[in-house]
Amino acid sequence: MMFFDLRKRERIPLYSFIKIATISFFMFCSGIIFAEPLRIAVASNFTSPMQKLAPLFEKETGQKIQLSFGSSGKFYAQIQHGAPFDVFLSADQAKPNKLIQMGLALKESQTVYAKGTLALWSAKLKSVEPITNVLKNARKIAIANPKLAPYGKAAEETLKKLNLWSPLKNKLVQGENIGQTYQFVYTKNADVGFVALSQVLSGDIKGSFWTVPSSFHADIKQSAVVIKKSKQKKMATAFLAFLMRPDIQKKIASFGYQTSIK
Amino acid sequence: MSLSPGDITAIWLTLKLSALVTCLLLIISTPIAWWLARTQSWLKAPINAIVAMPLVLPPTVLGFYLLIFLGPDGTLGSLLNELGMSPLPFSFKGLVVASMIYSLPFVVQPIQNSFAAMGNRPLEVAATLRASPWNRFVYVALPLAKPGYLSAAILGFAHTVGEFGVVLMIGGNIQGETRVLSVQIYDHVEALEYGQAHFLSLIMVAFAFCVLALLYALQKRGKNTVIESAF
Repeated sequence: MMFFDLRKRERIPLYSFIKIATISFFMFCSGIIFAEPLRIAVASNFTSPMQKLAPLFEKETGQKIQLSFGSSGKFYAQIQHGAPFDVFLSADQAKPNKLIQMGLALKESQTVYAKGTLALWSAKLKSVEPITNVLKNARKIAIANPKLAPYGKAAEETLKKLNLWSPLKNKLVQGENIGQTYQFVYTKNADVGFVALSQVLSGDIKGSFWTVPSSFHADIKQSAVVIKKSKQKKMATAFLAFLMRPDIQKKIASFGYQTSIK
Repeated sequence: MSLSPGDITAIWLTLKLSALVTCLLLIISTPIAWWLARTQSWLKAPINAIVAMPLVLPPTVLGFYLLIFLGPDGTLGSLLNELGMSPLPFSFKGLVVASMIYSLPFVVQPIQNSFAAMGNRPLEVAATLRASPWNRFVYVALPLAKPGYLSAAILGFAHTVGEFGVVLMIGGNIQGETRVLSVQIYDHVEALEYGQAHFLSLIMVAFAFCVLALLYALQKRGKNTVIESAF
């Protein structure tokens, strides 16, 4: 009843309420415009580390981050067609290099933020060793598409190094990216699979895994660049510097990558 | 620009899959559509809903659940395993099963609509002429439902050709087995082979146009419209 009394007495409170609401609405909108998030395109294999690192950066700088996860190939195509990303964390070096050549990314910004580690993983076997036997006895072996995914290419090189590529070719099933490859092994539809060590370490079911020695394949150098069209180049560069900081590099290593910090 | 052997394999595989799925679906959809068109049961609404669900669900949901249910730990997967059958994911058979689920409403609904549209009268007349229930169905109902079957076949085939998400999730991208045309195009795009992607995509666009043009041409000719019985 209080409320009705107030309105009867005078109408000013209602008007001022509208005024305040309008002003705060515009302040809210302009706030969004000023505090534009830093848009980062992240290769699938780095999904889980990035989800842990982004809040740290946000806390330190107050800068909001908006993450997109997907295959590097898709991001490459999207950036080529003007996707509004500020930073691109690729799973390889080739795509950032190409973007630089095309004048779409800043050359001086290119940074190898991590080196990927490949793992042979099974969700159902108690042990994946000896690997040759396990691979030979497996019905289906999951790898990422070697044509598209750097981890897939490394898996192919590893199998070739073990002289198992041609004998086992018929058992291979391919995920479009390393995330899908993980899914095939996770659901046990593939007995074993070559995935990123970082995925195995962050996953909830363990099964068993074997870390592939880095001598078995060419380095999976994961490289990041700042996109030329970015309106927040300063913040984007600061983010890459943040990724290369010793304490953060140490964290990245703990997620299953090789970094400049041993 | 010419087709690579991989492209040709993918096209052939897609046609084989779509033709097989369409034939199987026409067979199993007939009793479902017949029952749905004539029943008064309270089960009609829920069964109708189940048949139509693939229209609404994203292919990722279908693919994800198929991967789980058909996997070694899944209900269906372990059952098949005990029956001594090879697992379905990553196989052509698996794609057939998945595509049948995915394209089911596109085949059931046109047939169901033409069964419903003919009403009881023709069947009753046939019954007074002492036609048996089976003869009534084969000689009266089926010919009357022909436009429905035609659009069901066309739509079922076309929809299976256009399938992508489900195949991507349970196929495992094996050449000649599960790498269908849509996945092949996706691979070309992802591998930055835009020329080949364009070429195959153009084939798909032309195909889609021809199929729909055919559907509408049939609609013009037939009195019982094909499109109307489709939707």
